Amino acid sequence: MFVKVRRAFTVGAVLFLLGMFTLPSLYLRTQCAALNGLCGEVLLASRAGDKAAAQAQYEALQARFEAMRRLGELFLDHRVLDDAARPLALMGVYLQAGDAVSLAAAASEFELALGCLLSIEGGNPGLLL
Amino acid sequence: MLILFLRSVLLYLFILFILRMTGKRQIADLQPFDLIITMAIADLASAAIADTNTPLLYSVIPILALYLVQQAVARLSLKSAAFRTFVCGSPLLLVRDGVLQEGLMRQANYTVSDLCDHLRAEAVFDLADVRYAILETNGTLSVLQRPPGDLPQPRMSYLLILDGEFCDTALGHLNIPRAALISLLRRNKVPSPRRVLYLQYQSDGAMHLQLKARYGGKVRHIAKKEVKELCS
Repeated sequence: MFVKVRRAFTVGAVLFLLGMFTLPSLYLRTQCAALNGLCGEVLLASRAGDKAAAQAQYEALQARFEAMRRLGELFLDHRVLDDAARPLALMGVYLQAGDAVSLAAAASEFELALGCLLSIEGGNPGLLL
Repeated sequence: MLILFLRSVLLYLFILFILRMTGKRQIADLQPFDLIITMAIADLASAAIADTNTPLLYSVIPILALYLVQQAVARLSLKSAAFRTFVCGSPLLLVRDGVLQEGLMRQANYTVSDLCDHLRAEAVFDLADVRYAILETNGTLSVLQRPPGDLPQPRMSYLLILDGEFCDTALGHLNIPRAALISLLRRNKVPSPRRVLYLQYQSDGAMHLQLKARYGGKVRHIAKKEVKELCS
């Protein structure tokens, strides 16, 4: 009986690990691609001078990021997610202030943070050693 | 604070389950690979319990990985004697027929005073009382004492076949050639040593063997006379 339980647990552990090796990175990849797209649209609308559209895109971006953050906190270091949340909040402030240059800087910082998130689960060999 | 409490409880239950799955060795005699997993699990668990910025999965996944490695090592150790010797080492006969085996003691980094320490722990206060002393792979010392007075001297039992594999060191000690043992097995209706779970040379000179479960798991006794013929 014990041997059967142990065998079942071992198989379960292998499957769980295989799932954890693939699913989070898949989830992050799709989410980050969508977030990058929304971020680009915020910048485009801002450059075009369409403040209402930029604000709408920003809110969609923020909502999507918060949804990802809630799930991401289960398998990612919360500090890495906080690092991405900070420039996103700044983007909102600069959007309100109409500061296009600072908005672009905050957006590129946000994209950089998303890149860091991806590299954690993306099998970056640099993180191995 | 409630979160910290719940994280501790969750990890405690998880580790308890993992240690239970790895087998009894965790609690009793630790082999080197068991020791590694025990120490690493303790460290991984304590890191995740207190830091709420780190998801529990950051501890759970390495613990599961260690568990799987430990299971693989344990399974390979069961299957291959060479691998088992590589991972766990082999028992060393430090005292043989009352004589200290200096070379083996040096090999084990074991001094005479270490030996005396361990013997005292076994309530043996005189080296002359020791007939055999074996340093086991888990670091404990097994002692066979000389009987008092004129009683016959005890002899060692040796495992000659273990899990279908010959134990060449023991065969060497007893000067039994493999071929002779194979023919003895055939005479006892065991066509191949691979079918034998264990074959023991007993202290009284007889032999005792058990077949593997898939070959019937029968137990057989080989009389002292037949063994003597083999050795001669």
